[in-house]
Amino acid sequence: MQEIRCPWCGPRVQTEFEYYCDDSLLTEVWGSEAVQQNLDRVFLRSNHLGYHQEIWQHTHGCRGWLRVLRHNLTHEIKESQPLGSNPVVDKDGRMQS
Amino acid sequence: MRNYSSYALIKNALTGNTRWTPAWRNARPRKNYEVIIIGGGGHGLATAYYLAKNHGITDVAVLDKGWIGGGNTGRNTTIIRSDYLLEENAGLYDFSLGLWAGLSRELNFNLMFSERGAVTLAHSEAHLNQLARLANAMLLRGVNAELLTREEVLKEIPVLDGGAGTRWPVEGAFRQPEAGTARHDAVVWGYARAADSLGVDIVEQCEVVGMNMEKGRIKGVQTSQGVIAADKVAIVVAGHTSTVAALAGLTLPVESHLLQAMVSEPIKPVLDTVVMSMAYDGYVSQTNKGEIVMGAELDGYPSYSQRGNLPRIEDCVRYTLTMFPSFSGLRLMRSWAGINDMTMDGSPLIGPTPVDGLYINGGWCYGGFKTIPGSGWAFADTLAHDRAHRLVEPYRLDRFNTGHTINENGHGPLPQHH
Ligand SMILES: Cc1cc2nc3c(=O)[nH]c(=O)nc-3n(C[C@H](O)[C@H](O)[C@H](O)COP(=O)(O)OP(=O)(O)OC[C@H]3O[C@@H](n4cnc5c(N)ncnc54)[C@H](O)[C@@H]3O)c2cc1C
Ligand SMILES: [Zn+2]
Repeated sequence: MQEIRCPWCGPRVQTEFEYYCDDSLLTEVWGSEAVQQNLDRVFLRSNHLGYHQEIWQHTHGCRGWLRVLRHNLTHEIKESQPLGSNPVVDKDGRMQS
Repeated sequence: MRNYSSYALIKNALTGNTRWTPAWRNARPRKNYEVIIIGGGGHGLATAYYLAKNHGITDVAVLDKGWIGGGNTGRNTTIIRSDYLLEENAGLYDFSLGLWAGLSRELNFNLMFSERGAVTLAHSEAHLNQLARLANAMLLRGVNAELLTREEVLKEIPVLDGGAGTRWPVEGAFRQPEAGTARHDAVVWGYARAADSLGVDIVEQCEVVGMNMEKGRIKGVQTSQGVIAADKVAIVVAGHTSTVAALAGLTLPVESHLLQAMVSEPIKPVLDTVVMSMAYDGYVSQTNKGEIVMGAELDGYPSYSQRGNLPRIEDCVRYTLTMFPSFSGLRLMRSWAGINDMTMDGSPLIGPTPVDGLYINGGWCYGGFKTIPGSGWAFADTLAHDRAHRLVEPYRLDRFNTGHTINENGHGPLPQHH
């Protein structure tokens, strides 16, 4: 079982949490290009093998929202931060400068 | 192909079973093919077979990075049914169910297709209404469907606990009598053997690691066994659909999630139908060997690990024991996980891609075993004629852009909930 560190409550078992979506889903786009970009954002996933920035909720705890950096093959969790933090990798898993 | 028959069994028994020949050749890849199919699961092999049989296209290779049937086809709970509500799904699922009945004979391979029926339990009035709507939709399209009362369910499935006095007692059920199960490995081996005998090359331990393209057209694939040229390439790799499609620069509406299943030790026959439930996310049947097979919900987060977590096994066992308390003495023998290609609307992705000559058949989520014959048939036709066959046309890749999503249970684009 995965252990996830809630920024507010500390390390807890995975069953207290619920995976919500890939971080890329949250990046709203505005402007004239927005229709296609938003369609892609809602429906397409890079789904690459590697690190993903994911949104989880501490559902059975403080109900806080987390931005988790997790590897989808090894399940290693590198970071878990409050949702307001900046993503560490982009949707394709590339490090953000 | 040497015919399998009672005569062959007796003859080989007399020679100590030393004269059986391999069911398919262990092919080395040639330099080029008319069609390359990436992925030797049920869908890839069925596609190859129908390309050869229905369209006379035999210059075909099926490439698998591991052994054929090592993916989801060899890991699933083998439930075959066509009780889908939406018209877009009805065509392919009904057609597929029809093919299963004659398939063992056609492939000369005992697929152990067992038309034992599948029952979905209702635990509330809302469940009953929903199942009545489903049954009516099926009857309208000419497919058999039945509603059972609580008394009928308990009489027909004596080992089932009715949950009298509990929060979710069994209130009735829906049944598709023509549904059933089949032996998953046999489906893989049967299609492989039949395709091989028509000239298809089946190449195992051959991983596709790149795509060769020129001016927007597919030219072939790069593999762990070298470059292989092809006029047409089909991606049929289930859980790896996104990573293989990315080799051609495509991004898809797919997220890979884990699904687990497990079996108990074998016991004498107690359960002669498939049981599912509207309240408990577990689906249960008994194999011909006597094991109780149980399928779980998705693990709930994206993963390529093919390795499930204990909490879901506990959930699944809990659901099963709620329905069948008498199974509580059984020991669990094995559990395993498959990587499910979950799409954003819960329906598959089939058809041509923006790259000329490149096709996809994937996104089967946790429900693609039942459709192996029908999808193989229609996808082969699609490849042969360079356009989507009528039965798979609704599953076109751009349906999300045009608003034509096919969402059986009405969840949004959060595939862990499908
Ligand atoms: C636990 C579980 C229970 C299920 N229960 C049911 C059920 O009851 N009923 C039902 O209808 N469906 C069920 N399913 C779904 C069903 O198993 C799948 O939808 C179906 O088997 C998919 O078949 P496939 O041929 O597309 O993929 P697979 O059988 O997964 O085959 C894909 C193949 O592609 C190969 N591959 C991947 N990447 C590469 C590469 N780069 N190069 C070469 N080869 C590659 C893999 O090695 C694999 O052999 C279940 C699935 C699971 C995991
Ligand atoms: Zn918390």
